[in-house]
Amino acid sequence: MKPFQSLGKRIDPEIIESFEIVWDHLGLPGSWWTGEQRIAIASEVRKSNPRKLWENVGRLEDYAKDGDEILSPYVKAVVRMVANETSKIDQQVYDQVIASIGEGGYAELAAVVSQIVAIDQLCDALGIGREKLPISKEGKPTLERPGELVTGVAFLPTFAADKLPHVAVSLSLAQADNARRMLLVRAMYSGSTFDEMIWEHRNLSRPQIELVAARTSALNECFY
Amino acid sequence: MLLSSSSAALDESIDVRNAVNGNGADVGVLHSQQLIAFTEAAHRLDETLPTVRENLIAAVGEKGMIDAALTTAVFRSLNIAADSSGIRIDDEWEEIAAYLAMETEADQFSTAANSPNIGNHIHSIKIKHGK
Repeated sequence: MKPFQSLGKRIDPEIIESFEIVWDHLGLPGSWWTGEQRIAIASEVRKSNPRKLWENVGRLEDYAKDGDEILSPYVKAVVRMVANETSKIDQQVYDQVIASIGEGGYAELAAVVSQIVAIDQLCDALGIGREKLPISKEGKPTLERPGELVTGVAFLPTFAADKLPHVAVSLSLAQADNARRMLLVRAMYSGSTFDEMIWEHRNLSRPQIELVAARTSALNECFY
Repeated sequence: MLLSSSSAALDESIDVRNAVNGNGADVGVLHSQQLIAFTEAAHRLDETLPTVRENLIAAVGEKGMIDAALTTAVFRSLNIAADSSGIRIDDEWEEIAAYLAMETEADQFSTAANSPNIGNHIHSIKIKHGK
């Protein structure tokens, strides 16, 4: 059975299709992580959600950078911080993380987290079970770093934003995963009418949608 | 920003501070209390979520509730992308972001440090308005 069939009767087919594309690639080798590691990243996100109020990652330097598991305790802690305590990531934390896992590894990790969170959070909000994670495929990461990156938009180097909002290029160092992440954004939120203030393609009005968006961003303490 | 702009397009006046920080009453958006309660419960994933979900369905229908669920899910994902990468506010949004930050106190979030120009805009606005 194809994934996400349980959502099929309630959710627009374009959204299901975007979820299937994410699932088709989640367990494949990426640019910086193997398929097995990417599934372990997704699995760590799931284990940490829902987060109990008293659970905090704390200081990343307290976690071991070596270990026998697929991901080291340090990388697992980075995953949990990106997934649940993103607002704590400042320039200092970022510099420390990339010194360990590199800019590309960090961008891909964050892009994988952002994809699994979008899909799992939807299932949780609707009160339906999360989709089983795909099986990973063997293979080595491509170690592919896109050219023509710029600085000054984010901590991470990114593609030039041109006329796109900065968030669209935020994780473009992980080019393929960033594209899939933005595919979710288009399917779940904006469609092709982001610039229009009156929306007819959704069941809520645009102000109702933006009210939910504004409150969500406030809960996550996201200034952007 | 888009909450203000989209409301203005419909000739609706909204209370941004209440939308961001309050309980949703009198925000100026239809069914705002049920939408805010659902967003909060979906964020916490606590035991109130099933009841709050049913309340929202009663207000906006099943499809409206699904729209709210899609929105809160994808915005959590967008927040992760924005703050894990450390992006700053886009140049053309800085001034309105400064106004809204003053209104909602969002400039108190630690992630405001990623957009250092906003502080300058807030300072200019305060001088302009004699504050």
